[in-house]
Amino acid sequence: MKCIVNSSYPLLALILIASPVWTFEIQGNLNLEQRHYVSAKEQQSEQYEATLSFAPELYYNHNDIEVNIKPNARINSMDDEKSGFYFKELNLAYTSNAHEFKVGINQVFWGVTESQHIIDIINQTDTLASVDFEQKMGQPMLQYTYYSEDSSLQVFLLPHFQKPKYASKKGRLRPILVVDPSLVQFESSKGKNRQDFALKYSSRLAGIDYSLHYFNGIQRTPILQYSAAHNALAPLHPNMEQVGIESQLVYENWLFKLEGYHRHSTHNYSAVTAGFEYTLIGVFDSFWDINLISEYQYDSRQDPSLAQGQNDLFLGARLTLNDLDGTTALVGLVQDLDDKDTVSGRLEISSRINDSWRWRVEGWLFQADSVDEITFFARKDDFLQFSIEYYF
Amino acid sequence: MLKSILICSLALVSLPSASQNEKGLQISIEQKARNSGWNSVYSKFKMILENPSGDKSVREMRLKTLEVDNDGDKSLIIFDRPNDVKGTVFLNHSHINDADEQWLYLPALKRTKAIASRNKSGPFVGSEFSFEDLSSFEVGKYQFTYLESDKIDGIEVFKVEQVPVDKFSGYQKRVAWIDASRYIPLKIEFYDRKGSPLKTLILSEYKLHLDKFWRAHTMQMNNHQTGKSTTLITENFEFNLDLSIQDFASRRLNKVR
Repeated sequence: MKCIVNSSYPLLALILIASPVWTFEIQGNLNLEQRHYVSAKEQQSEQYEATLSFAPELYYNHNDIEVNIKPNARINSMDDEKSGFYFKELNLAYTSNAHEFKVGINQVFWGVTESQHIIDIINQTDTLASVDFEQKMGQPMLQYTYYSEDSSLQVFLLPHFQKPKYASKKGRLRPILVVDPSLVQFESSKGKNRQDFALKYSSRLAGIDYSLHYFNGIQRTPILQYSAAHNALAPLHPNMEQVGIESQLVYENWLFKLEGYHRHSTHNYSAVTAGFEYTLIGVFDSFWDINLISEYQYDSRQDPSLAQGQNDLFLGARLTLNDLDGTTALVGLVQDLDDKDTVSGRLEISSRINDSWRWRVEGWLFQADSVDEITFFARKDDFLQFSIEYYF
Repeated sequence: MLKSILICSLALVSLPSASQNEKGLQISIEQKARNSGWNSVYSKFKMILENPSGDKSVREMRLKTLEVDNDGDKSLIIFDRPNDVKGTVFLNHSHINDADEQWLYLPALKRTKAIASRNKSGPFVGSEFSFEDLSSFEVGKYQFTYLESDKIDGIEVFKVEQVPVDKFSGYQKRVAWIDASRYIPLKIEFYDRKGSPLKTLILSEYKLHLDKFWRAHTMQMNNHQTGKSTTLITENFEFNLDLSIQDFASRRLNKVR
């Protein structure tokens, strides 16, 4: 008996090490942003804004079942509408070889370009979280993915539309007239509960990675209409059908990227973003790397109040110092090629303090002289922001 | 007559003989052959980065590698520390004849980005190791010359010069000290593109796995030009995992844990 116990212990230990049946992980970050606007504004003279945000992430898996929970909470000093809570993820996934099923709130990313993400339309953008529109809100979905050797097919059923958030009268970086979310209208008789649907096929041909997609659902970005009765802007979400493409080619130190779509909505239009990224390693005889990015933005809607990036050029550079602290810098500029006075620019520098802390400095400037431009409202919203980020 | 002798002796000094090339190649083929057939391996390792002033920084990562017949290996690096890069995944498909393919998965954006860098000589996560140093040893990546026999700590070694074929390599050449009985590198000297001594790698704490494969549990890289160093320590290696090509697909990076 004693002999059996003795010999089975190492075996038991080996099984526990070699094949963990379940895992549980927790991580996340706490972030304090302090934003200083360069000038006062007609409607809002407050020039200081602070945001505290908390984004933990829980992961559990048991054999082929995975659970992802990513809440996102935020408190803002200037505008109550910017404070809030939502889930980026709250889902259950089952994977079996080539098949993956996911049910619940999830976040997916579509696209390849750097300057903007015009085909990334599954999730609602959290436009109040950051000016670069990189933050997304969770989207309830039923997602199925089939993986083959070199391609994948994804099917999305999107049963519940996530409405965008809008700054209130107290907030900045907003239209001169505020958007009143209570005036929201949907083209669909089912409102936000319309059954949206999307398909995406990704593969590779002659060294080029590409994806094709079809989307049939509520347009994520609203059309803003003036309501005289409320002296506010009313958001309208029409139904839309969209076909689109993304493709990317890597050649030596070059990355060539293209994404675009054709959309049937209130009217028909197309948009494309295309360009390149070039990597320079060890510049100036140092360990620094520089990525140069240039992208052209086209939108067939010629009314400048409807869309950004109608005939615009983005130029950017990302500097990586490759030092102990992981220091990076990013500079970017968008120039409207139709109107030389419409420019926006950004600068971002970030570095590590230690294993858990990072600082970040961001500066944004917005220039638009024409009242017709969609970015006209932001012309006095240039700001400098300092963030301290805690990661665990 | 005198002139031709002079030319002959000059040629002897400057050009390696065909037999030296052949011997260098044979040693390298044997080195690769003895380290083939492990199929897949998983390891958890840390890098201790040190400045000349004594500042230290630690990186923790996990590495999964899949051996691919007649081509370079596929490998995944999952970052655990520092915390701000936790969950970031780096995928490399190494190729012998074509350029390697690389991707980075950024968990905060749930985005997989392709990396366009033929040049892999830059510091990997700020360490003294470049990605080129960490990628798998393939015979087709170098031209070899056997230099001489030598001894390291009483161990008989072959000294072999390795000149990278890839014009994007960060090195003009490497000189490796290969254990003459086990065919494993004990020391590698790296020379920069100008031919100046750049770095020295000392591989130690070798342990035998599956009675067949030697793995260095400590690798110390010293940079002579900057005075910086990086020590890469691996606690354990696990072999023969249930891994397939699909686990190394760029489209599935969001599934990697």
